[in-house]
Amino acid sequence: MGAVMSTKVPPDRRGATTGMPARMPAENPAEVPADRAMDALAAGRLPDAPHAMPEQAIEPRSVSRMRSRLRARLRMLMSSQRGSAEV
Amino acid sequence: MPGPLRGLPDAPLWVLVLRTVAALSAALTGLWASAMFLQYSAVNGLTPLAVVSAVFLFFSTSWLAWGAALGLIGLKPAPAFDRSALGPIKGRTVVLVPVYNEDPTTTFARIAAMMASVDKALLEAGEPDVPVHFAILSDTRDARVAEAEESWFTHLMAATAGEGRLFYRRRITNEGRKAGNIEEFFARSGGAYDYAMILDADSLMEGATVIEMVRRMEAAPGLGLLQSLPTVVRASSVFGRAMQFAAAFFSPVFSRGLARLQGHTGPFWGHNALVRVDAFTECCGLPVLSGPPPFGGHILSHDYVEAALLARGGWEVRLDTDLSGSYEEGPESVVEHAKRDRRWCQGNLQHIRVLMAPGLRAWSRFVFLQGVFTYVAPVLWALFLITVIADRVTQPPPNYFPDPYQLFPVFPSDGTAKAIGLTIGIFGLLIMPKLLTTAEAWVMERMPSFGGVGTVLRSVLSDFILMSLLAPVMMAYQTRSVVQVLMGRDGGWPPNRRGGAELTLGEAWAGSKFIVLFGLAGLVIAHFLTSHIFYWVLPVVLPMIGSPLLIARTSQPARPGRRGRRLFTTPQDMRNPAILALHDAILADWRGEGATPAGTASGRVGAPPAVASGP
Repeated sequence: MGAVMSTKVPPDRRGATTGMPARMPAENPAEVPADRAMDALAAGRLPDAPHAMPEQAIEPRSVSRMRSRLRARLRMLMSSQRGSAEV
Repeated sequence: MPGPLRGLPDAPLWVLVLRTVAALSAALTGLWASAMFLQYSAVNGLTPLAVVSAVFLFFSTSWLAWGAALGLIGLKPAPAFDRSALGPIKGRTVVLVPVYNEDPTTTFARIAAMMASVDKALLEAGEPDVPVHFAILSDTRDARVAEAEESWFTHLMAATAGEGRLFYRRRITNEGRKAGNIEEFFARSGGAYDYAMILDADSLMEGATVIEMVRRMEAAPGLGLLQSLPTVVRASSVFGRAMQFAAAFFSPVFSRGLARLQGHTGPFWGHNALVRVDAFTECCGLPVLSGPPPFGGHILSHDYVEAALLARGGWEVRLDTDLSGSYEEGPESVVEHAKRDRRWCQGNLQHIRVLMAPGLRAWSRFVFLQGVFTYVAPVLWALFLITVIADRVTQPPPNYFPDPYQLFPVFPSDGTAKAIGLTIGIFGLLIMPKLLTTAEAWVMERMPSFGGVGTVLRSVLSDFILMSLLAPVMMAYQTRSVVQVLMGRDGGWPPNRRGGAELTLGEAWAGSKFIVLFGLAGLVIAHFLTSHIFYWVLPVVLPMIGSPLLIARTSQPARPGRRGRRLFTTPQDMRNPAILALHDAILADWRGEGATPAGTASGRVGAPPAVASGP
């Protein structure tokens, strides 16, 4: 009965979670042939039919823009500090 | 692919009018309460603290009035669902059961029951070949429970002959918690299915309900998520049964009110709901919020956010309150309830970060705000009480002889009548919807299913007394949760403790000593510093002082009674639903064939019987 348990998760999908798009195979789910998707069923595995789940923009644009600007400024500040230390 | 409703209003005009009327009524009621309070306070001179108290009272009373408005709007029964558009099922469905350190015997027996029930429903409908698969998505971290899951899965597979339609997988890491678990499934296998029924480990659904929901979704191409109204079942403690009764008797009316206001932007409660896979995957990939928990990191209460994102994507999210055969279990003690509430509190407060997300429907933003207010309201009540007491303490003693040559004393004006009027008004907001629901149950002939008029009246009265006693205790727990979250303390992801939650007095004391201390402090302050409002604070501080007793007593098993005469009787007590009976039978069968409870974390995880047997 061990074969029916698909506990083995491919390494690229281990702990796959909200950062999904980066780890997803670039495959259009609409193009996955139903037969192929269902092939896995006969072997007792979860169907191999990936579905893209793009990450949604949730934080307000202004906040994320502000944050990225702040980060960029910090980076600039850090690099200029490093530069001056080297001098 | 945007949803069919993108760009259209999220509700018809009459719903928008109804929302406005309900919101205005709530705000006006809040204003009335504040005005009454200010009049009462102004009798002997208005102080800044009294004004602050009035502001707290405005928000707290408006919140109560909003709840009452939902109840009033829901009183009218829903028209019967028009089934004329429903046809044979064409799509593929998967039922997802996420588990996290649960007792696999009970959980997997539920799956066996649901599989049998779905098969029966499809056979009766003449559609035995419609594919409905079941996938157990384990996030279990306890190695012994995981081992038990694997052996019970083998047993479940044999018992249901589930090859090709029953799956189990366990994630190596449980990143993203339940939302991450579901997302991982869609990333791997979502393309194989049109619809996914998302359950909790304690969910049970009649096969006929699952099939009906799939039919309804197929008939409505713009429907992205269909939420059923789960009924709480199998409570055995006093507290659990009271909550179960309230959920069965009052909740349908309040949920109907909510359903009438939400238009196409309905709720998702995270389980017992069907999603359209394409819509869900397209709209609900959740990002990790920047910064550490509790406000950053993974989104804890993901369901509300997913509902809002579906609506943003132009998909309808609908709550069908007429769907029966959808069940869940609830907490059996105040402490378990408070633990769950701590998680929900953190999740709801985290929604502050999502409140201004781009493109959301206005109603979705309001729902987030409502969720935040659920936990802020008790804090406002607590702040109201504190500022009222502080105002009294800081007021100078009355001067009976303001004039040095005065013969007779001048007594301060007595505003007691106004205070009593205000108290009655606020209590009215709490009681009125429940009384009207009781009247509705009588008119709509719902009472026989709750044991008849006598049993219902006893249950409603007992519910009122019990909830009044527990309200200050709940307020204390919720206030602590809000303070903890605001202080940046992450509550984590504790596993649910289901069933047998009887607490000793020592355990209850350990979980509530801070409430006792606050109650005692309130009593002492009221007695020595503000003796004239001493009796007003007693209904709040006495239950707080007695909270360990209350918590321990209400966690004990409820007194048994004759069918229909037992306190807090629900329709499920009168007639055990088929799916619950089937689950009981399977569980008894599995446990009766030599399953001996092994010592695991929960102490309730057993090994499967050596011989596989069908349900």
